[in-house]
Amino acid sequence: MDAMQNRTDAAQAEADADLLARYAAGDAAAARLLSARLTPRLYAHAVRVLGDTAEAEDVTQEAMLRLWRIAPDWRRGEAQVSTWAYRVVANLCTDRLRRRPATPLEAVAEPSDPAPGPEALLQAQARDAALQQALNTLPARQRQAVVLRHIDGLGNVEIAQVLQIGIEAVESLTARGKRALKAALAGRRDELGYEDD
Amino acid sequence: MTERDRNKSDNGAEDAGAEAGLEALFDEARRSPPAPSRTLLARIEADARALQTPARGAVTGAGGRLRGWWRLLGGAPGIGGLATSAVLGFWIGFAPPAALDALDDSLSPLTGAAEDVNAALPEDGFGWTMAEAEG
Repeated sequence: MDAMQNRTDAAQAEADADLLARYAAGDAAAARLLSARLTPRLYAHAVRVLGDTAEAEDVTQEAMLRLWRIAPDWRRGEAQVSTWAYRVVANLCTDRLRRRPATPLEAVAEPSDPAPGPEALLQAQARDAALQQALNTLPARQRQAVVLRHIDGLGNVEIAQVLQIGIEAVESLTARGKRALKAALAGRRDELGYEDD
Repeated sequence: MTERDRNKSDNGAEDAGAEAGLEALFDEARRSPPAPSRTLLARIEADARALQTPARGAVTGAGGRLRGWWRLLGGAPGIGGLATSAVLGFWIGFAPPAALDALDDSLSPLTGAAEDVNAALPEDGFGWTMAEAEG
């Protein structure tokens, strides 16, 4: 199963590299195809990490802009296009999170929107908002590692390349991040529609 | 079962529940990721068009041939070296520096020897004219 997944990942990486090469050679359609492949993933990651759609749009556009700029000098085989793009997005997100004023944990742990009622909280949108609020309580690197691993579905090796850290550091960040998420959501299990076994 | 074992068991069950709940939230987040707006996609494509260079295959005609020669001669560094050596050669021929005269003097024994050899050659061209006369 892993071997099949690896082959699929390799084929995807090749397809991305082909499109980037075609773009650099002047193929106008290649940019649209590559953007359609990468933008949704980069944007979703940025939204999860930043918790703000306007900032996520800016970060995604900036990352893609840098990709278009580097296209003529892209050295195939040195890195995967998607990994490189994730790394740019991660760095841009880190910069923005560092510039933000420190927010007390208790301030972000509570829902910003008062609960409209138990019925509405059972809806997927409310559960999604709860997850986002819990993610917002994590330190930046833990948040990025958890999102990359458990929502974007990247492997530890690729996450290590994206965050430019060792694999052990990735494992530590994701484990601590999950523990912190469970703690942040601990008091909300009933309202979110799942209970202890 | 002791009180301690009971607490341990409760904590284990609680942790399993929290783990399952968190995994359920992750699953939902994976299934319905936030989608980029059409405006964002349009902005990204506009950036791509603005930064894209024309297709290489589109360069034809005299301009294309000139660029071909330019590349063949090594581009700007190659052409620069070629121009420098041409100017230097012309200048040395037009106004040779003093150091070149000194070099000429130091080589004069060789030049002189060559002149002596020429002077020592037989005037009949090693019997060639004789053979003609006999013929």
